[in-house]
Amino acid sequence: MRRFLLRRLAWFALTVWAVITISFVLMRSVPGGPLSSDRTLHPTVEAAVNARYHLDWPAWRQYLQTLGPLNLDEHGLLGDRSDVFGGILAFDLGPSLQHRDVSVNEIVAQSLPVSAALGVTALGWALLLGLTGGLVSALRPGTALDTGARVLSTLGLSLPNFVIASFLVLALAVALPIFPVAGWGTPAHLALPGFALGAPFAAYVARLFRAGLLETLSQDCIRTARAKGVPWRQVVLRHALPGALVPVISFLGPAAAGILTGSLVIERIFTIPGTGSHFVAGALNRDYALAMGVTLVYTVAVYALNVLVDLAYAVIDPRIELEKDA
Amino acid sequence: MSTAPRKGDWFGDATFERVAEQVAGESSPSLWADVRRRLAARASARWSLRWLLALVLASLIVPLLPLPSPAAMALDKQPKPPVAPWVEPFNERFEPYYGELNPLDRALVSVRQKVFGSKQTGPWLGTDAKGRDTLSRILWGSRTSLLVALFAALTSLSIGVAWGAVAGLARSRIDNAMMRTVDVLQSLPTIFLVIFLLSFLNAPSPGGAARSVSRETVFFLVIGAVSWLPMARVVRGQVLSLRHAAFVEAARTQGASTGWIVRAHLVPNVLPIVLVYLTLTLPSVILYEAFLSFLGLGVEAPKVSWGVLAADGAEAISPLATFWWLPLGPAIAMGATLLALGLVGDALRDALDMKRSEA
Repeated sequence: MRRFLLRRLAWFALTVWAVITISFVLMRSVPGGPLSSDRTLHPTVEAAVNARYHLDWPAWRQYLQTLGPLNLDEHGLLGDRSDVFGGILAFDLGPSLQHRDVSVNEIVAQSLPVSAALGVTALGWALLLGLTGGLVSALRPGTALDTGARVLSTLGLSLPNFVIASFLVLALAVALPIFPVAGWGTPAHLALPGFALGAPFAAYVARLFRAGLLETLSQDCIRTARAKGVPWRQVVLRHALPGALVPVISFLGPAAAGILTGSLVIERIFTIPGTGSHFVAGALNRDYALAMGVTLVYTVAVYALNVLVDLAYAVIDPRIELEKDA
Repeated sequence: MSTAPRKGDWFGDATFERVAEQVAGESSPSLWADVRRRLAARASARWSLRWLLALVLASLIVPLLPLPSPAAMALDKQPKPPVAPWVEPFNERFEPYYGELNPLDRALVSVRQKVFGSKQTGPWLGTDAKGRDTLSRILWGSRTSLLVALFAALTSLSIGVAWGAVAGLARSRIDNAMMRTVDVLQSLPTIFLVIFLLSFLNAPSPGGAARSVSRETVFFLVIGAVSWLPMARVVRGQVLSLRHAAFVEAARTQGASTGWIVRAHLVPNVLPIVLVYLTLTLPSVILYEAFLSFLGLGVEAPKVSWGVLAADGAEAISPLATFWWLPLGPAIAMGATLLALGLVGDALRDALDMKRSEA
């Protein structure tokens, strides 16, 4: 167990480093600085602005500063850091380049709870609908109910989430004004975006769960349990469900990553002030610090979720050895 | 037929001859003939293949059809709701404005103008806010979406299959290095890096300096770059398990050359799983294009894609006025195509008797 966690930690460090380096290189290799605008600034002002954001430093120093903060001047590597800010190792993502006087840390701290609430709602919808649908169609295979559930799940996988969102809005907010069209603040604002975001994953969960249940239900132990007179309900709950849940749980990691990605679009449609919409705005406005900070936050989140899923996997199915796939 | 064996001829020559005759008469079908038979036996697979074929055909000949131009605008009383084909089958308001076209399409369009003149179909699926015909835009947009899918298929088939096959065949140290590369690439939040890349390339460079690569090239490269990873993983797994399969070892002990083993045993056994994964890759790539288009990072106007149309449709929804036909058309086109790909994939998997494995 400890070896598994340590190894995952090493891979995690490598991934984070790769993300930082790639985004740093991308950011600096693009023509046009983040502060260049149509207005030409007075040279003194420009120099002051560049100094404020360390844009006057050579690239390698900027890189170390982003990473560290590490300053390689007369104070040594870790000496006086009063004029160095930012630095991923110090959990400081630096100042935002577009929103003056706000740090990326503050933006993330403000918007992450919003995105988390949305993501949890979406995951809730995905599990609720997916498990119900999968259960229903696996217990009555070949019936109209099964066919209906499968058609619905195939449809959920065939449409982009923003198309699902727009039809939901059309039906449940415009034609029948049950839910608000967009915005943020009350639980009612969560329902539609959460559903639209979770729908493709609900579809996938339903397919996985159906296949898993059908497979476990055809095993000998189930027939034995039935033969010795265990009631059907108990057979399903006690013997079939745990085994059938394993593929669903292993899908939760990719699903969480997908939900984070999907939230970029959903947050924009429903004008939700989450981290995703900040990222898109940051990338489109060339706010490097913001875009890179959010990328990092998401990388960490996805990685942590994947490790949790792997651990849960081992708890459910003791036959799985963690060290092997690490 | 059912003549009893002659007395005393227990499974002797007569029985053997009869069985041999029967087998020869039926001529045992090859794997692919069998797959084709099983696909044809399934109505959903048949209709899906027909739909996909019709779509590819339509996207190829769309410049020849008597449709309005997808780029020609009309600014009076727009958007117009759909008009049934029997109410207004055709009108004479064709405007030959297409934006930039490649030489072949230009030739096709001029043929269309000679044949149909200024005749064009009515607004069967309505028009958008700028008066552009929705049906025409969906058909022209299918070209971009199919091209993206084609490009992704080619990269998965070339890079993905080659990478996976080499990793599966190579010594374990090389295999390890290659698969760890795939691991790191897959755990990178590619979508964020892609958005980074595309949005920086979109930004107008300050001095008006000409960009060396067009945005569309980058768009295609990016989609190709992210689409081959699952394929490499799957192919490597299959090659690895085939390498130690009993029939391959048997062939090797009988002195078969590596080339022969690859040709006779590896390729035919890797091909099915590649095909099935292709039917999973294509829908995800088409969705990816839609996703990027929604964020404004897709193809540039006046070019159009399904993603652009779906995004326009999603943005046309407001509580003030409902232009329901704008999201509906592209949603049906995209949904039907992805559904068809999914059904063909399912049918292929069943026909090849493959268990669904998640990679």
